Amino acid sequence: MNKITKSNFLKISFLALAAVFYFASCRYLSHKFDSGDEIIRKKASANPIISLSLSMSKELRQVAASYLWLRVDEYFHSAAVRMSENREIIPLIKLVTIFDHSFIEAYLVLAHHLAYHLDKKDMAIEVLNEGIENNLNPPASRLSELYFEAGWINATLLKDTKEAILSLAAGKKYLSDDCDIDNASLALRLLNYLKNSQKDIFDMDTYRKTISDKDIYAKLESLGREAEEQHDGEDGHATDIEGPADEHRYAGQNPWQNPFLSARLTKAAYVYAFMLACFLLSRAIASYVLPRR
Amino acid sequence: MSRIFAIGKYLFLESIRDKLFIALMLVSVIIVAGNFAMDFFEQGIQDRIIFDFGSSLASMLGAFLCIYLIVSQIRAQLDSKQAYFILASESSRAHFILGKWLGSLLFTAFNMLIIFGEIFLIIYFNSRIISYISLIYFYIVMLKLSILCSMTALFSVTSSLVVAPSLSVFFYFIGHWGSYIAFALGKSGGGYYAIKTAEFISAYVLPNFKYFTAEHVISENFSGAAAYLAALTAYSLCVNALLLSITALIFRKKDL
Repeated sequence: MNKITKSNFLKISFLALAAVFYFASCRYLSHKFDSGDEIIRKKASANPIISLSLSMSKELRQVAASYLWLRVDEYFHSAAVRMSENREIIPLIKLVTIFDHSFIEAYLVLAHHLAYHLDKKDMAIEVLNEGIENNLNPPASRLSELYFEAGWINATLLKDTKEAILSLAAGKKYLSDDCDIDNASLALRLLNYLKNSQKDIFDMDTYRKTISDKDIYAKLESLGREAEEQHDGEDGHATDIEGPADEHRYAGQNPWQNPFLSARLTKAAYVYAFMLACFLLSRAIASYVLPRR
Repeated sequence: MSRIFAIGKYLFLESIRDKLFIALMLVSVIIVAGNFAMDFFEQGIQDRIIFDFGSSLASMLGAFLCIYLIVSQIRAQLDSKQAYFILASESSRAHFILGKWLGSLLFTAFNMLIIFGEIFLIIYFNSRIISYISLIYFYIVMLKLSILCSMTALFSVTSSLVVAPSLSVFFYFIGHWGSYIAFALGKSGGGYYAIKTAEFISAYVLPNFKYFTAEHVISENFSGAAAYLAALTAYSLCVNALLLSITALIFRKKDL
């Protein structure tokens, strides 16, 4: 085999190998993505918004969901309407779940609002089941929170102990580190109670009696201790700030009176000053090492 | 190989001195920096919003940079005959294409690194969380943009200065919406074979940009995410190899 033929042979082999790997990876990836989209496609004929969301890429869908969530947050905390009258928020949260079916927070908030504020328990369970169905394959890291919420609604509002036990047990099965620990421990305590309870119908008052005040005070004390330790660990002006959750107090107020915002902006100023210095330094080094011709 | 790197290096240096790109980067950095002043939501949600908006901006900017750089460095230089300085030297036409592709990709990667680094820092300063997903998504976006660069190089060799970027943008969108076309065909009463053909084309013939998301990295366990990333890397390498080979082959036969 002369040199030219050998080189051609190598090129053709390389291209053939690339084509084989291309088809193999295509098959693997298309299978992985189509199984996820199939769930949404089944519902698309009923809802034009789902059809619209299918026309968008995943990135764009997530951006749309994030933007809508900003609006949800704004309307949810607006004082214009009472919680029990806030029905306009439902389609907005529903849109978030349509655009991003992995937005667990949206399913939880929607189901809680429907069940506890608007007295639409069955709709709440439907929403949670939809969330579970959309996030089961593969199981999302916070999937168990949906099961726990379903368990609470089944136990406290629908008085269906059997279903509640099933939901809570399924939640326990999918429990992961990303789940809220406090909510998980409360749900597991409820599961334990329901399993050992002799009654078929859940009674909230009896359940309350099983949780001693001591437990709650111990929990509050441990939380307080953690907050204090965190407080002591920080230095400078950051010690004036109690914790991230306290920033809610400043929502809607004059932003310049918000110590969290000013602290963040100060940090940002340091970061950008550092980045600018790095940029100028790298330019100076580049112009020294690689002089312009 | 050294010729390819030399062409790529000079493209990178030439672009980094361009005032247009510096201005573009500054605007992007300032837009992403707006997240620092964001009102407070629940921590996970806030990080997610910062990541979503920042990464989509980076993705769009990267796509613009890829198309603009490749078209201006290949097609525009061929039209203005500047490319003849390289082609008249010992470098072959394949070296020219590969060098321009590599330089554009390096410059885009440099810009993307700044934006993703900024997202990483914002999330760190807001929540004290090391956002590994920002780093992984940077890699995924670069794989996606490498395919866009190869595709634009192919159109730059075969089409004019106006048609090449238009075709690249068109196929970039089709790459994202390919499966929707098959779905829309089904809904509008298209025949069985028409739907199957559209599905086959979107999955196997055209580059499918739908695959390049962080969704499977977030939702799956370590082995699932690693398998997905490995398949995505293999897919990108193969598409790039095939597209660049076709481009080099066409360019070699082309009368200049």
